[in-house]
Amino acid sequence: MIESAPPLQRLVSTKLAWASERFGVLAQNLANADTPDYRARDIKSPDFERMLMSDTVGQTPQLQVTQAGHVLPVAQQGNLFRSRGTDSFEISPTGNGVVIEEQMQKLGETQMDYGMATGIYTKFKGFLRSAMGDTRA
Amino acid sequence: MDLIGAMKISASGMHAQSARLRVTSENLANAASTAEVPGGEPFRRKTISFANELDRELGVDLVKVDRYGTDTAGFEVRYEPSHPAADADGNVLYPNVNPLIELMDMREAQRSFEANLNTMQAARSMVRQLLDLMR
Repeated sequence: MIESAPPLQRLVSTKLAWASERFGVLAQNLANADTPDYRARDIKSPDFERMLMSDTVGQTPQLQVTQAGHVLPVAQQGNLFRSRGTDSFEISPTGNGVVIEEQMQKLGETQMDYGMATGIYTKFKGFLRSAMGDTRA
Repeated sequence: MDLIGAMKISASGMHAQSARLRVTSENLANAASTAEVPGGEPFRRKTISFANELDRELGVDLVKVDRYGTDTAGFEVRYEPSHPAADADGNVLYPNVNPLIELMDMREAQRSFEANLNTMQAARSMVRQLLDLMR
């Protein structure tokens, strides 16, 4: 069963990486909540459904760079999740587009996502332990 | 950008807000500071502005204090001939500080500070959750 399932660890670690990346962006928004002309940003969620459906999770062929002239596709250029500007509820007279309430709500959401991913991983570890006959699991 | 980076960003936000609070309290404390010589200028309200600054190590926008300035609004004139700072006509200039504006500014700084503090606490609890995976 486990060998046919998509690598759970990979899904969990992608989710964790995404959540902490998003957390950083939200922290940046909140820190700049009173900076003139600053606009709130957010990052796109990876397509977890597609990752679950495909058998090739983590096995996507990667372009190799063997010469200086080779250019990587955007998806392979370091940052996995691109940050983007968002339309906020309102813009203050100083040109600041950060709504603290909105950002706090997103922050809570991200925190719950993170908790969920670590929870799933802990549970998965419990399954493995009980399969190995460990009664503590 | 990771959770530790997020904590650094929050710290810079809190630092900026506490600088703002300092300016506000300076204005409030000097709300009645008139000139020392007859006909002189009283305390002028101070302002503070923020700017975002790219941290090359983290690759994120931190906040820093852009500059401290002064409010160019006119002073309040009161007729008090017996005041030591009164000019020849008996008028005294009082600072252009409006306590109501300063209090609102203070409240706003407090709210932003709280938001940053909550972010930092959330980041800490997330780091703890991650470390708990090792158990």
